Amino acid sequence: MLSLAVDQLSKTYPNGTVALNRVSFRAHPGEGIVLLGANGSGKSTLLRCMVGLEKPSSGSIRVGDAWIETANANQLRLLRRQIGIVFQRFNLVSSLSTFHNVLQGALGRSKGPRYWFPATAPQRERERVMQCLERVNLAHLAQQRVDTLSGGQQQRVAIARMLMQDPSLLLVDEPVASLDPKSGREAMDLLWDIVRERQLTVICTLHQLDLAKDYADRIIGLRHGAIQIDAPAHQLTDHELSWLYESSTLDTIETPT
Amino acid sequence: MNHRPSTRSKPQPDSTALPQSAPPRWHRPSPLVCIGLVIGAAFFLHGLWISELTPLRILRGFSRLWNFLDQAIPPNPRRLGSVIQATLETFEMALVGTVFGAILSLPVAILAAKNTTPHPMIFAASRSFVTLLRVIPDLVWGLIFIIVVGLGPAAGIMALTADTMGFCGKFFAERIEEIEPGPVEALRAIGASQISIIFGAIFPAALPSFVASTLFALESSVRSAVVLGLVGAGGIGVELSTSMQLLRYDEAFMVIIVIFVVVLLVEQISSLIRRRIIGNAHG
Ligand SMILES: Nc1ncnc2c1ncn2[C@@H]1O[C@H](COP(=O)(O)OP(=O)(O)OP(=O)(O)O)[C@@H](O)[C@H]1O
Ligand SMILES: [Mg+2]
Repeated sequence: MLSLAVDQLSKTYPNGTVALNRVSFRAHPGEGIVLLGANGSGKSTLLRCMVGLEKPSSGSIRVGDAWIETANANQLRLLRRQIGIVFQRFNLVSSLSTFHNVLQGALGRSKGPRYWFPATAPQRERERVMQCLERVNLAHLAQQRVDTLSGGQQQRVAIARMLMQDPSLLLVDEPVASLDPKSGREAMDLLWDIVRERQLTVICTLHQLDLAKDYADRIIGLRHGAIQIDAPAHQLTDHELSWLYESSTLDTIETPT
Repeated sequence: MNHRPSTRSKPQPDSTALPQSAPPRWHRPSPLVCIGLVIGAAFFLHGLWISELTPLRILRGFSRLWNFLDQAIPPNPRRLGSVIQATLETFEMALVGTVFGAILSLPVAILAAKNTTPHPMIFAASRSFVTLLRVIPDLVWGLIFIIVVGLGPAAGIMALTADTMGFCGKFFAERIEEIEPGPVEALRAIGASQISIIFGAIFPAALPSFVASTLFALESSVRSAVVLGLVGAGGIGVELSTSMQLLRYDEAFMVIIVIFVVVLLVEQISSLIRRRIIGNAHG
């Protein structure tokens, strides 16, 4: 459980695209927030700023009692250990085994070459990897190369890697975008079970309004990089939510890069 | 202005001013191209002139080649034992030089790839270093290292190490730059150190290509090692140049046959392995 405060956060990319415009919100420990918004509304940029993969143009992000945007390289590493992120495209190392990919979740907390290879990792960590894989029902595929798995399975490997990392704050970027409806539900169930049993604070971007309403405690709606909706999930109507997507394709014509 | 393709027979208002026609058959080359062609032709003609490569000379050369072959055939296996030993030395020189070169290329490539270099200055410096290693020919490296460590295979190995680093440093760095950023970012977001990211995500992704490039370098090193022997850097080249200078063409021919077999063998085996690796990387 980790608190998070985003204050007046703006991000303008070097090519002039304004991705975030004075975004402010506070996530309470243990809260489940779903981030909605049309393509290009800045959801991924917001998540990337929170782990320091993108540098904000202005504003601040506080995680626990540290500030991301002013942290030096070492402090940033310490902060990142506590923040898990599951990417839309999984971002696994495709030429390595499932086991090896999950083991890499420990790279943040453990220095030293022992953790680089499954063969040299301490027995305790090897057992933890198997526990994480069992949690996502993939223990039987531990030795398989990860690029031979299906999309849904790769998503679960990414979740197992996150379990191995053992974060207090979890960021999830479109976890179901490349999954079929049934696998999508399963992935969301798995994620939310983990979130609840570990009492994680979670921010999850989604494109499915029904999923958003089923899982979120609170929904934040982004439009053109600014927060337009921020309310408990049960108070929001479909009409209010669909407004986020209206005519946004007309005025956010993507500039070719 | 956009021209929408139209199937209507009526001409479009804005296309009447400019009747559509096929592109011209012939573009006048730019002055720069003309100057380049003239300079190139001048060098070519001058090169022909100074080499005095006349048909008569070529014809006479053939009769001398006949002379050489007459004395060279049958090849003389009298010194086959030492020839094979020297060939082995050549191969081992190539192997050791290539392995050293490939291993030393790894850190250099990390510094010389845009996405892993710690600083733009270091990037520029290491790229220049690799270029320097590459633009100086292996034979020149051989002569330099003979001055440094004296005649013998040690100089050959050092020359081949420099040569391999020039080649592998460039290709490794380019491969690293092609690596997809996603997994690297994922490890960075976990809080992994730069060195863990290199071993955890960058090397695993690039390894098949690294091995393939190294095998390619080995093939080229084996050929270079033969020639390096001619200037005294150890191996079969020494035998060849001795036999040639003593006009023992039959022994020289034996040496050439052994070289041929070894180089061919190395190439075949190496390309077999490379095909395996690249096949696996995609399957
Ligand atoms: N590296 C970048 N350089 C320049 N512009 C970028 C970059 N990354 C994102 N953008 C732009 O910033 C805006 C927000 O992008 P972002 O990826 O955050 O949107 P998103 O809400 O995640 O969209 P999606 O739902 O499609 O994932 C877009 O207009 C995008 O083109
Ligand atoms: Mg996105």
